[in-house]
Amino acid sequence: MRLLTLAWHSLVNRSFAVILTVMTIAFSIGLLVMVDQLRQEVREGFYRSVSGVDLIVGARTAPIQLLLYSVFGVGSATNNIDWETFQELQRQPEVDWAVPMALGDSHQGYRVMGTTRAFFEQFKVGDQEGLVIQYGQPATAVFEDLFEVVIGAQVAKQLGYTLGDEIVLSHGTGRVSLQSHDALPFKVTGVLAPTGTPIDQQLFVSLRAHRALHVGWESGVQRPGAGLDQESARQSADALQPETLTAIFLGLKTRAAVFGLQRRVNEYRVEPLSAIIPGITLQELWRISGVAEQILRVVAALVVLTGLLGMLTVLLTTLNERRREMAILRANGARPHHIAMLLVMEAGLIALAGIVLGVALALMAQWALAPVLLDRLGIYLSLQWPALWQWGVLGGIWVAGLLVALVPASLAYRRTLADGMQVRS
Amino acid sequence: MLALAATAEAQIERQHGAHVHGEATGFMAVDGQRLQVQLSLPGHNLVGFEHPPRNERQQQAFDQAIAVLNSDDWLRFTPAARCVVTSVTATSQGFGVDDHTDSEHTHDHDHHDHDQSDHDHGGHAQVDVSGQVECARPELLTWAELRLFAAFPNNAQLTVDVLTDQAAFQARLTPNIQRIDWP
Repeated sequence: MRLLTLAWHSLVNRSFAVILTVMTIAFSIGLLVMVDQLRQEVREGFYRSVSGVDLIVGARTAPIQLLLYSVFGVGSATNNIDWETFQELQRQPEVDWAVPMALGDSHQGYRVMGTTRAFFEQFKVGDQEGLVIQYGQPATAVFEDLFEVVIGAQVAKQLGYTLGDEIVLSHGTGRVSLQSHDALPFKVTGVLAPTGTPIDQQLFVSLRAHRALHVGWESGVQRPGAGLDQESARQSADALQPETLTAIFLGLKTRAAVFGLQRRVNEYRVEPLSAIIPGITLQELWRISGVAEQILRVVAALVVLTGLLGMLTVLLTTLNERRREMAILRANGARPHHIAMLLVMEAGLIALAGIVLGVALALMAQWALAPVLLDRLGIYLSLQWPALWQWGVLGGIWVAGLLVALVPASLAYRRTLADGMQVRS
Repeated sequence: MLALAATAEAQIERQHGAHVHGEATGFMAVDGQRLQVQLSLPGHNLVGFEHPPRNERQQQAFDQAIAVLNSDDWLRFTPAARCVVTSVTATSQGFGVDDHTDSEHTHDHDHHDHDQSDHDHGGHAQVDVSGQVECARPELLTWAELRLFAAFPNNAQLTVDVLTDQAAFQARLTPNIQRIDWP
């Protein structure tokens, strides 16, 4: 114990070099932990977002692309699909539920999704949890009126909307949109409970309202006088059949039916479609990003190695300066193995401080990155302690630090023996 | 309306699926106690040719391949899950020997006819295998093995999509990795 106090004081005495060493190790540990934590958390977040969907159907495109634009709002669809296709899919015997989605509008940079009541009743996130409308009418009464909008938790929080507020949607998906659908304002009639998925970042209107918004907008801008006003839109609500959709979420009755239907959709002769199984497509995505992750890991591991070598350098270079100190210790009754232990303990303390600080840095980085990921992908990063196996790796690094210290320790051990016998000035 | 349909069809006929030669694929789905396996194995992987058998040797190879696939020897599961293979049916396509022995093949595909003609046109031959399995303790299922490599040296890789209560994932099996581990 006395040796440990001594080690501590010795480190404090050389605090500048020690702090630099600790920082080197801390940054390397921080990088190592962060790479893994982020990877874990992002994957978790992606899986949470599509947990209850068996198939996603969209225009024929790359599976990853379809998943990214339909669920995460990354990129956009190359083509839309026909409303009749939706109806045909809905009629398939193995289909339990079908949720259509039409994208293309936004509100203050948040995505607006045209859908049906089925979305609120069937869509599941996280651990097979259904959507909950926290404030406002229940899911069964959603979209009673044409101009109702249900908003995600994050939208409500960020923009300060409550029930009854009137909002205007914008044409297109840019943050700053010059064209707004201001003739047809919507009323907030529901606020969803937070889910930690991209749903929190979206607004939901009925497909019919989505269609009503775009009457007269066929060329991309509104033809003067061609749009509907609220009253005429309401009157013709029944005639407002959607024409195209961006994607369709499907839930099937049995898991075994998923593959058959997927194949049939992919081979559908009438319209070129793609059907994807979200989990398998995510895996495909990880396979691609996995290469980058692996590289980052190797880099992080090398940086850790550099940190430990840095510590070795510091211990070795100070060894000469500390000859007097060692001699005094020896004169006071310290045995050579005490001196060696002292050096190992010092290294242990440095490595420990580096690891603790590194984990703290990783947590801080996660905390700083969370809003960015939330904004870009709608995924919540929760602050997580490193997992058990990560602690194992960190423990291994600490042990490696101790082993590295054996080099100066053995040098000191031999030297103090010699120093003790030779008479030197 | 008719004219529209005709033009639509004319355009649609230019869709072609991506065919990768020698790619064996399949899926496995767990629904409660029922487990279903379905595989598409190219003739190349099984017997080394994709046409009707032309001589005694090829006929023998073909018969033997079908016999191996029709047995349930190649399917193994976590013993604790107590799985029993209730049926395995191998159906060949494009080998000329029209052995559609599939009395159990009850899928009502709308496009079945299309599928059929596609394979014939493409000059490919394959064997589809469908297996039904009942597991008494499906919650104890942690792996499945498809031992389809020793008997078929040409079979280098088998990609299987797997859906369980917990996960959806893709497994790539090779002669060295015949086991699908649940994540």
